[in-house]
Amino acid sequence: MAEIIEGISPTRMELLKLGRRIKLAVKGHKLLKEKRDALVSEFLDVVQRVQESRDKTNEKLAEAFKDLLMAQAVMGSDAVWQISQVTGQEIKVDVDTMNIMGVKVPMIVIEDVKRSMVDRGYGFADTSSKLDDASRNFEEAIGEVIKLAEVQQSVQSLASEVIKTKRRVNALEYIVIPRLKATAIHIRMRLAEMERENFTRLKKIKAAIEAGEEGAEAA
Amino acid sequence: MSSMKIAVIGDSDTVSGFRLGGVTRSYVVRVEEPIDAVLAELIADETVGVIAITERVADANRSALDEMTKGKKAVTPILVEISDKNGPIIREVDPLKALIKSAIGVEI
Repeated sequence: MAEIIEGISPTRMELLKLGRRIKLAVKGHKLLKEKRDALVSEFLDVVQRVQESRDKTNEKLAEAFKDLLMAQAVMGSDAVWQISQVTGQEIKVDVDTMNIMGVKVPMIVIEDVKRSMVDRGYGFADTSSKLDDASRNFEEAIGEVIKLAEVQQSVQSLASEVIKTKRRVNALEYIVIPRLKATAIHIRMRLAEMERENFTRLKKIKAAIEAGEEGAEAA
Repeated sequence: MSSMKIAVIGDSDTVSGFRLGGVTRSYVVRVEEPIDAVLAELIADETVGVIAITERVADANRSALDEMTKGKKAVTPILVEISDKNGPIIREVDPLKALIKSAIGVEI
């Protein structure tokens, strides 16, 4: 039996108030449970996407690193490093937030990762074609990394919301509602007890009065 | 929100690769170096939308990163861990699996 809430006087008013609170708690519990289920299904969906996106990103990056290594082998890693310091056109992203059941998740719009050769900002004369391959592959890999960032952030936000909702559902189900119900039962029993007390008291008084009247008549 | 930049933190090869791909905010760090100062700078900068960090560097700075993800109010910057030239680290406990377990309570 759950413990009762302290400091509630056993009156009919309080019983009525408790009844309303129980109704509200049960309704809230039902709603939160629905929210939790919806969040979980969304969460599992995004988890799937994270796994796919992560595999794809790793694959792309591995490919890009291989090309980078080749470029370094052909041109020397110092030369590659020098060229990488030349800044061409920069990749920019638009980050918007989307709302999934009260959870803010990012939505990243990429403004075209792939650039033309000229936009990359280095000359063609003294660079190997391997470097172009590496650049192109890194551009693609960065696109994947950005997508991964989006889903990964979503999965984290959703997970923390799922945990929070789960805790609320459990608190209502196992603590708040049982306590309210136990208190209501307690008040009901106290009221019944008081009624019985009153009944016996009245009986006693009646008996006393009758005994007094009989004594008066006898006298 | 519009037009945000990408930043990359990692070894020199990762950085030169990402720079070739068009990421200009780059920080070369060694694995044993703490990255708190770099992170603080990137978080303070509102134009940074995504921070890519290599797994090896991230592992060495796990507590700083966790603190950052917990403390951040806005959605951005989004932290994403990437594999470096040695390929992804194979972990015994997949962080994603651990997250699923803590959220739903079962493994899938």
